[in-house]
Parts: sequence; C-alpha cells; structure tokens
Amino acid sequence: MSRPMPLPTQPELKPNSGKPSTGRNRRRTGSPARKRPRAWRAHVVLGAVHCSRFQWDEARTAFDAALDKAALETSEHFFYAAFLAATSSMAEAERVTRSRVKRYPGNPFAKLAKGTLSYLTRRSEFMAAEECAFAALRDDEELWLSYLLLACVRYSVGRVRGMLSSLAEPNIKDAHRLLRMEAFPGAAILCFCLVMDETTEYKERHARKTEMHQRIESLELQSRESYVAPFSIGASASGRE
Amino acid sequence: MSRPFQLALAHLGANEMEAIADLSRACDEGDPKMAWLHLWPFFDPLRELAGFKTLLARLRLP
Repeated sequence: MSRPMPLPTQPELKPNSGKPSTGRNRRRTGSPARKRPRAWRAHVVLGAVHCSRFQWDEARTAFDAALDKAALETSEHFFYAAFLAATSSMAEAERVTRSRVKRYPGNPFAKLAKGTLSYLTRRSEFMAAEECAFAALRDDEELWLSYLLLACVRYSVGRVRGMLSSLAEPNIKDAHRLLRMEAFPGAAILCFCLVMDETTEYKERHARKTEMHQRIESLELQSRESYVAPFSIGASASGRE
Repeated sequence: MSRPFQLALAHLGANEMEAIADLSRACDEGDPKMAWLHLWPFFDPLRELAGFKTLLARLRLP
C-alpha cells in the first residue's frame, strides 16, 4: 500500500538563507574546491567522456570547471591537451605539453604527449615527433607507446617522402611485443602495404614466399581469431602486383 | 582499442569508401581517437572525399 500524500496544510520549509549558522553547516557549504580538492580529476574525466561523444560545448564546460579547481594540474593533463587539439586550439595544446615536459623532464609520458601533438601538427615534417619518441625511449626503453609513435612517424614520413617506411613495421612489432598482444593490426597492415608498394623487388619475388609474405599470412590468421579479418584486406591491397 | 578504427587503417590502401564507413562506425562507438579525425596524418588521402567531409561535419570538427 502506498503512503498517503502529505497534507497541503503542512508548514512550508523556509528557503536556505545561504548563511550557515553553525560550524558544521559552514563546512558543508564551503566551496567545492575546498570541500573536494581532488574533484578536478572527475571534471577532466567528464570532459574526456564528452570529447568521445563529440559534445564539444559540454567538454569545454567540464574542463573549465576542472581549471577552476586546479588550473595547473588540469592544464598539464593529457586529456585537456587532447581536447584543445580536437577543438583546433593547437598552439595552446602544444604550449601546455611543452610546459609539462619542462616541469617533469624525466617523465616519458610528458614527452610522448608532446610528440603526439607534434605528430598531429606534422611539426618539422614529423621529425619533432620522432625526437620526442626517442627521448621517451631514453627514459624508458620498454614503453610501447614510444614505439607506436615511432611507427606512426615513420609511416607518415614514408608516405610523404618515400623513406623510413621500412622501419615502421618493426616499430609496430616492438609495440605488440611489449603489449603482449596484437593491438594495432590495422596499423601493421598499413605499414606492410606501404613497404610493399615501394619495394618493387618484392613484387618480382612475389611467386616465392618472402619472409614478409609469410608474416602477413600468420598475422591474418591471428587477426581472424580476435578481429574482423582485416589482414585479408591488407594482403589484397598489397597484392595488386 | 577500436576495431573499426583499425579496420579503417587496414582499408586505407584498398578501399577508401570502406575506410570511411569504418570511421563512421568508430564514431558510432565513441572511439576517442575520432576526436582527432581532422588531424590524423593517416587519413590525409581521404580529406578531399565527400564522405570524409560529411563525417567531419557530423562530429562538428573543422
């Protein structure tokens, strides 16, 4: 049985005056930043969620709230830099990542964040990104993200200038080895295809199974287990010869 | 990791329209990497295609 509705004769509650009269109330109504000093992280994560839904206005509101609570920490967070890059504030994104590298010179992730933005902006024809990846590897040679960034750089340089592309595939392989899984099969296919397009010698030796051809076949088999057979697509792309 | 995004990379060399369809699915799945769709150098070969421009407009990206 449902509870009866309150009678209309109930005394009305007076609105809160906003002036707490006791110490306990004062603590409760303190500013959010003082009350929850680490809440900025929640706003940063919320901003990132809005970004992944492409809700840019909502993302900006969330990041602004985070900045209000912890300006330095928020501005140096990668999610914030990612948001700035997505919304075409690339100069500001690069400024905050540079600042983080200066503040944490031994942090490879700071260098990778800077390198990623340099890659996206094609700074110095990708060479700035490559330098960041190598700097991160000097800090931690087992960081798969560094190898992934190197692979991206070398693929792009290979596509634009026809050099270094043969190095991209080994970099993807290193990233997979450190991750202990083939997390980027599409990127691997792309690198394979570029190398194959450039290597006419490979085309001439197509009838014989080269080491790379065998590698494609084995990756294709693996990809069928955990992915939608992308390697057949890559092989068909490279199989134009 | 997102399969549609990886599939888009795999399709890039073979079938550009298929790659755009994959990117559209990555967008439907809310892949965070799609927030940089207008920036990724990988997708430079697609930039002039109408389907790619439509996708950018859908994501409200420049």
